Amino acid sequence: MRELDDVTLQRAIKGNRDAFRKLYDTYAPFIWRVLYSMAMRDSETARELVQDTFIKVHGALHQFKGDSALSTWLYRIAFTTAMSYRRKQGKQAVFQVYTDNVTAPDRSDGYDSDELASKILAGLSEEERFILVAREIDGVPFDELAQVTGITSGTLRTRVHRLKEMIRREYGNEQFVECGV
Amino acid sequence: MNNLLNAGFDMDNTRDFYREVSRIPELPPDIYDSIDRAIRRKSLMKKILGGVAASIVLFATSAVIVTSLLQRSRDLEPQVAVELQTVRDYLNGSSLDEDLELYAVVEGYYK
Repeated sequence: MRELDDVTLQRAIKGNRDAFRKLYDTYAPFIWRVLYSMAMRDSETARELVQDTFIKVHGALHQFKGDSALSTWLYRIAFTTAMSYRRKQGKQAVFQVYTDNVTAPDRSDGYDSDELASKILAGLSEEERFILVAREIDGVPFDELAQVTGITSGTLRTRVHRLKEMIRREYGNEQFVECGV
Repeated sequence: MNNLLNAGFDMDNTRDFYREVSRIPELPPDIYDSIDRAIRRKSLMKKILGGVAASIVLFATSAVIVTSLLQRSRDLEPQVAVELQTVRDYLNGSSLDEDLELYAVVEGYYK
């Protein structure tokens, strides 16, 4: 992950708007990808979460002491924002998106890839979705993920392994059903 | 053999899954404008609240100072009243006996 240079970071901390814009441009794409997956691929929710995340970042930037990489600190804010949003909205709200997506007119010929991916993602918790996307799609190192989630690196490795196993199993089963095997 | 076929099939499907999951729309370009607006609104609110808080502190401080001055002037009142009474007694001549006695003591005429 490309990190923001120190000079720009210091300017952003001091309240420079152009520097904050650069910070946003550097980290927002990743934050968007992760939050989009955590929000069950619902653009509006993901958009709201990205906004909340960066407003919080702006308010707390002066507290950043550089103990970890800025990206780790930002992911942590994004992660906690998504988790607290989930607590506020309740499980129903988040899963509604998936339900809307899969009640397509014709289910008799099985899921398409997108629906199946959504179905599997819907079966995961927000935390698991975050871990899966950050690790498997964006390649965030386990150590960094551990700092973001507060889960030990070893436990994360085990959980990712189990998630991958589950996905392999689930995906295989659904495809067999689809093919009538 | 079946397992091997299944394994191959699963692996391809899993690849499909990750391909689907990683298929994420681009970050909407207008999000930053909303963030910027919200930050400005927040900063403005902070400034307004700061101004109100400063006004309250200023008002409270002024009130405390005025109250304290009033209290002090009220505390001085009895002293002033005593002084005034002394002056009044002197002018009325009601303290004349006391004054003569004091003069006699000081000058050694007192018997």
